[in-house]
Amino acid sequence: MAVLDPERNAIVIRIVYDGPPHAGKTTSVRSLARSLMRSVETPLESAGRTVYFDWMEYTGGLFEGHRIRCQIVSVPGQPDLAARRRALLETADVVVFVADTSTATAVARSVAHIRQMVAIVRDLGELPVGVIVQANKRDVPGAISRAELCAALGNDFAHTAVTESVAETGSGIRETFVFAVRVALDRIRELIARGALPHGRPAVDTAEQLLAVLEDARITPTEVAGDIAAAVHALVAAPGPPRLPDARVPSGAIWPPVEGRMVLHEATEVGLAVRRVGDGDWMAGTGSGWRAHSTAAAEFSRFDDGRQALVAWAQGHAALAGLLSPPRCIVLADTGAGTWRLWQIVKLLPSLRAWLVDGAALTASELLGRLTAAAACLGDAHRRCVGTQLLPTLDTIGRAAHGPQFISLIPGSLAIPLPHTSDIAGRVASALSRVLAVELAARRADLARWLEHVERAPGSWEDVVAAALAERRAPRVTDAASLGHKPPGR
Amino acid sequence: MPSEKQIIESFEKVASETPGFIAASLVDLDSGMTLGMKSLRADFDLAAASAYNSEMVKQKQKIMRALSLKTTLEDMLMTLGDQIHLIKMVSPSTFIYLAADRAQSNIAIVRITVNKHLGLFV
Repeated sequence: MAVLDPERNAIVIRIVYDGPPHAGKTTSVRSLARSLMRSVETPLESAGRTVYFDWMEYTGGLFEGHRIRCQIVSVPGQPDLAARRRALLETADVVVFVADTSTATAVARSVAHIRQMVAIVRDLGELPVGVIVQANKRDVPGAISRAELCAALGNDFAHTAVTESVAETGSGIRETFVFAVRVALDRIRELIARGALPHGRPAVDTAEQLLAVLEDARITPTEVAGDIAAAVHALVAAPGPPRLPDARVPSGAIWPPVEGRMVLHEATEVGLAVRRVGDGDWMAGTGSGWRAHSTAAAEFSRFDDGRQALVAWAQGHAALAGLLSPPRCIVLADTGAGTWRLWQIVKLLPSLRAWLVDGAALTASELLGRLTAAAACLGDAHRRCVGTQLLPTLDTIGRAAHGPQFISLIPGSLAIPLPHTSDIAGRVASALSRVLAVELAARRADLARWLEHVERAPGSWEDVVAAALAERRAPRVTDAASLGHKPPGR
Repeated sequence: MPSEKQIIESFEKVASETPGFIAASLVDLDSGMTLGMKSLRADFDLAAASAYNSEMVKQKQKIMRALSLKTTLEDMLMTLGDQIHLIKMVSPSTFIYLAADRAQSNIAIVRITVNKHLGLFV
């Protein structure tokens, strides 16, 4: 709903506080109001519960010469008011999701709610609406750790920023709010660049007007939109090192513009240490679950030159979008020595090799199933990487719901595609042979015995696994066999 | 990044050691929003002052880029008829904005006091 109001020389943005019941949404907004010396309007409360919304306005800061006018709204968390929640979420420029982290059950409930919320906001326009997870109730003894929360959120939220708060005391509330404003402004910057930011008075300017909109549209209490309880159950020598980018990089120096800043926020929270590798490249993130990399050539004396390179990289990434793992970003950062350096930052996701090694203790049947699924996944990756510079290996490819994904850093030269290989099955078999010879060596005899009793179609991925195990030439895999293969659930 | 409470407590220390202290804030450069502030004067619109000063910092950085100056902005000192204003960069995207009464203080004292406590704001 962001709008440029020329009459008041203000950018109007809406920040929506969402979350499950009793997570602390209203408490967060009221705490923020105390901090900003504002008041909160709540049209109707029932037994201390928000029935419509909480509303607060705050004008502060400047963006491109315009005042920033924030409409801060919290949604009702009760399941039977889901329609009102949806209507408010659909107007958000950024969502602060208040998660209750006091217990494992509360976290599971929060995860179910955030999935509902993302389903609502993801299709709101060309540009995604930013989401920040505000992990609340951090003062409760035995509260779930941040790492456990991130694990519960899963890979779908790997690029989502997480802040910590105690809404009752106000700790973490203002920082989260300012971060949310920053994320909203990144989206608005893109809207302005595309000429898509509406001008004029906002359609809703006051709490009364918002209440009228909700009532006129007959947005009344409804049945629960989704089965949260079920979901909860289901979820239970050289020059010194350059300065690493942090979450406060300048505007326009990060891609993708909204999610990228969140990825960076999360990556830098763990405290990355930078070291020199190869021929002057810089690498950071060993042991952190993240990898940041900058090539020797990616240093620029002028910001504008760096930004040109950033744009080229962004175009390259966009062209590979369907293949790349999503928690990644490209950042142009000040080196601290008067120059600029281009970084790519990637979250480390499990590779096919890790998945196979992880299955070393499975039964022979299960492990063969996993080897076959990995073979099919790697084979599919080979086909999809044709014409790109991406090299699919057991270490660079991971499994996603939609198929293989490239989980590693993008090689330095975006423009030069790798030579095409026609012997995909041979490459896959060769890769599996090495795993079977080293990491899974103890299981080879067992697997070979089991394989003798397994019927396998010629030209299937099972046949490729058998070839890898026997260290013989791999068969040619038929398209039908590879496309029809469904990896097992494990 | 310190919490808002820690920022306010840190500014209380700065205020107690700065003669003529009027107000101070830690400001997010990108948005101009304050992350925490302390004011001894109700008529001093610190939020607005912080926002406009963020524009000034951005303009200064733009000038530096235009001049190809290969250095960083450390601080900005302004002398008004009756006030002293100091902008001190804390990180690439946050800065301290402090105003003091010129009759009771001087630029050196303000600068030394802020630098002394700078680590509290990182």
